[in-house]
Amino acid sequence: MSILRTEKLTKNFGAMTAVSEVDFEVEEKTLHAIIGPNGAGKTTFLRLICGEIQPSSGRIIFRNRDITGKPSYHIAHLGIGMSFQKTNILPKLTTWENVWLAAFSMNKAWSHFLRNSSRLESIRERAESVIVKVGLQESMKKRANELPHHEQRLLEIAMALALSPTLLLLDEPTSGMAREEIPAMVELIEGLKKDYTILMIEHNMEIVMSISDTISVMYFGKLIAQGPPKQIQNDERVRQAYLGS
Amino acid sequence: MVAVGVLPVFMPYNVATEIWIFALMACSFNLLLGYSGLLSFGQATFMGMGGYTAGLLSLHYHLPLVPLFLSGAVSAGVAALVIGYFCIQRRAIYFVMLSFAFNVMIYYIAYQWTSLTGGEDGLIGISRPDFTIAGLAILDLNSPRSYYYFSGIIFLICFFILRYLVETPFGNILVGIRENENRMRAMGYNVHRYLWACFVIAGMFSGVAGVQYALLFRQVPLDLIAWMTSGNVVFMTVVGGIGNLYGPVLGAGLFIWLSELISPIWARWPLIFGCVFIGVILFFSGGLVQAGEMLVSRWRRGGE
Repeated sequence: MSILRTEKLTKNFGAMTAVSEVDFEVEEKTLHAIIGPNGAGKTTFLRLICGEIQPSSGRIIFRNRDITGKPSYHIAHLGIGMSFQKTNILPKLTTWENVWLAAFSMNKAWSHFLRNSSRLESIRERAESVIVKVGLQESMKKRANELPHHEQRLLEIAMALALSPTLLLLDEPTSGMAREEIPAMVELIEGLKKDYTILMIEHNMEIVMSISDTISVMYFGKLIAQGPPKQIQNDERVRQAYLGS
Repeated sequence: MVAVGVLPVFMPYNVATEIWIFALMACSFNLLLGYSGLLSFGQATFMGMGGYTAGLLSLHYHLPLVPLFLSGAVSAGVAALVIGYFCIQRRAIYFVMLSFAFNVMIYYIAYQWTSLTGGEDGLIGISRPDFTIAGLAILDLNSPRSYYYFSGIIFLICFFILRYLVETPFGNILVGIRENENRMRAMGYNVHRYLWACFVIAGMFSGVAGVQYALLFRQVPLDLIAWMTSGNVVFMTVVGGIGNLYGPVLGAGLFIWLSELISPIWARWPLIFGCVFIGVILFFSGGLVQAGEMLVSRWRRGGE
């Protein structure tokens, strides 16, 4: 069953069309990767889905609900968690505070707003379990902007996970990471596969081919191919897009 | 708490009272600047709203003390609800200018609407009601001393509410918004609603300070609602230390103390404060609180 669907989704920035009439579907409990050369509109596409920017036309349907034009905070509550390509954390707060705020976000009890934060056990437990899951226990008390880059990337994902989303959007989780740091991240994402539906942008072909269930290829704002990794590897249009021939 | 007890030893009661009034004012301003990152250059609007409301209700209806405070807080809160709605649509300098523009607008309304506000003369002849509970007079506030302790306690109550507030999730969320508004939105927080709530809460506390002021001087001068007052509150808070609970209290204390005690001796006292201000901005962005912490840590190191 599809959990997310877009219909003729389009985004224009002035005269430039970043995303052009994309019809697209993500199946539940799969890892769906989007690939494509730089400037193909992949990040814009994810930002449209999480509501950070509004589409020029087209529709976005999440779990049979039209979420087009809804503000990002609303979409987060519906169950879409985003991890950003350019690290987007709360720089002067600690790792713990970053994750705690994400975990608290899904709290619905009004009475919790006016209690002392440190006494909210359920939120603390959720934040702790996410921190353990991504392996940041050692850096819990460090300020987010003082973490090494690969830990900031993990924190990005932890903040998305703490929202307990049904759909996880990962925009280049390995971006800027050193080669030896990548396997740990891949392992983490593979571990997440069984609990979440994941829509991921990734440049590293090796990773994409090994962990995705489905791959979509974007090229100049258009979706030019979609299918399982094997099929994409042998697709003529994809080769042309990448090799430019 | 100790400070409330010992302050009158060093200065007249009325000056000490004024210190706690402006300390409360600066604390409410600091909730906006220090926690949410919003520099409101119009906090006097709400202090004035509180002052005028209490003044008018006291003059025309002789309302008792507790309703005076409540109505002052509520009217300031309503004003903040309306003004805040517009101000929080923008950030940084645009927010500053909007809050400033509203302050100027309200100031001129108070200035022109002479029949209601007394215009340039302000409201005069306000009486200080006794502190009564269920018809029983508990405390006669007419002596400077009893009014001082009353104001000090009001300040402490408000201070503890604010201190509690910044340790709740609400306070944490404000800090998160200050740090990275976009990410907070992506994490599911309706940023506007939180900032708006913060603006209203700060406005209400400023309103309480306004009521205290009106009752202290038994009048509401037009100056109370002028942008000069808004600016002074910014100075106090920055000098004392932004984002620290005690900073604004310290800054307000220094400012009022200098203005009340030195101004009769030397009319150019703002010169001293200006020097302190420049020094603080250049060397201690965390204000006097940070300067104090550095001195203490240096002294400790020296002792070892």
